[in-house]
Amino acid sequence: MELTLDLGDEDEQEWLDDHLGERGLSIEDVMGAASSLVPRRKGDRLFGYGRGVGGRPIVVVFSKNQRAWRPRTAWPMNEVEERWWRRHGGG
Amino acid sequence: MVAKTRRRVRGPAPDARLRAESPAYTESDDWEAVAPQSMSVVLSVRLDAGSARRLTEMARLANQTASALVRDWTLQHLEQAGSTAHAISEAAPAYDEQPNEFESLRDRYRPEAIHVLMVGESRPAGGTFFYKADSHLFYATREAWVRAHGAAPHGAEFLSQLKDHGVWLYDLAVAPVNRMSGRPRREAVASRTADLVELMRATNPARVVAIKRSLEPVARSAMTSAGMNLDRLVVLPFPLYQWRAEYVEGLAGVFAALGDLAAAPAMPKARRVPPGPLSQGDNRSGAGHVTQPVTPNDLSSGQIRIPQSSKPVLPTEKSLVTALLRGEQLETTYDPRNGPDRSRSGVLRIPRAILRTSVQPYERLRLTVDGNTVRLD
Repeated sequence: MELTLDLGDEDEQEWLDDHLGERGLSIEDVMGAASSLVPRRKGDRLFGYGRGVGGRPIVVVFSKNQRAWRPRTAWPMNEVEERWWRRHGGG
Repeated sequence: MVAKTRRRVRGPAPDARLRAESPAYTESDDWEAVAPQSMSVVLSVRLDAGSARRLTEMARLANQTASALVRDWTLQHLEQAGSTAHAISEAAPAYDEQPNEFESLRDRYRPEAIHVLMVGESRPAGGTFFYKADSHLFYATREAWVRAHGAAPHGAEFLSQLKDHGVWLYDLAVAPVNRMSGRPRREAVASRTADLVELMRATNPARVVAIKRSLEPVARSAMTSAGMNLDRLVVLPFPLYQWRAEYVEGLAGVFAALGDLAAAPAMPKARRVPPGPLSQGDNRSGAGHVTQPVTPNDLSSGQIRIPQSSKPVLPTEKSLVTALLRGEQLETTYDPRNGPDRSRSGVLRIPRAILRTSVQPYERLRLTVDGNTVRLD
């Protein structure tokens, strides 16, 4: 299954950048992760594991938006998540 | 000023809940494993209705969707900007440079006998220049030469080579006009039309290449005034964005025929055809083939569309061809439009004035191929 990331229009991108900024991340982190993602899907929810800016491992949570996936939040991986990610082909 | 309201930013608590639900913490069969991948990305752009209408209009002319056009423009800018974000700001125009410097450079590369006269609008405002070997036009022209002849030297050596083969670029406006619009631009371009007529009379080039579709009326008018046959005119788009390939292909056809053109410089009424794909030992016939109905849009666009069923008798790549439209012979371009996504009707370009006098709206023309000539009856 091929996945498409939908960043929305400028208002939505601005909101997302603010939201991620609160977590010490940015849209560039999400784009970085999207370029090499280990994804898991459950219904309309998608968890993606990848590398953000500077190679920092992050988790991105997406929700379904018609045919594409819209990023809702993200955070830096902790040890548990990083171990899982490496076990499933990440790193 | 009214402050923009934004959605409240959630605190870390929802993340903790999501984290607990994640596959890293709750591995179960409910999670569908998706292959690791690089996602494609959709960015939405909001425009005012007027700009969006212009964009869709341009997209229609380019046979693309508006989104594809925006994507192509963006990719072109990204390629030019390299990896530096600050490169998106445009370089300051070098208006302080002396125009004579450019004109003396142009004169340095003027051939003794001009076989191919390329007619441009003006040198770019950004300070690059064809005869400084650093403009978009220079690089695309060199690419056309490589396409036609397999190799070309770089920089000034290539300019000398063009000179040796009788190819010269003449700009209609003395100063850059590419950041002007409307009447001032048109007037700046029209200001040297009389000089162009004199140049054509004096040099009698075998081919005139108008670089930019909007220059076609100016070139036609100058050629008519100079007493030149209009079948020597080739109109190409300016080689930017998706039009670069069309320019390269069209000019390569002109360059490929240079040997013949140089050998026959005194052919004022000649209807000599450059060797094109139709002459490559393939004596195909198009008996029984027809065109698409020529719609009012075709008449105003100056084109005849060739349906899929008739395309096999025509070249499979963009080419210069000779068309015989109800007895009137003209040299034109054919684009099979075999895109990577889907194949569309091929397009044969016909000057609008000729098309309107020869074809009635919604008429279908019978298409036959005779040697190098596409007959349309």
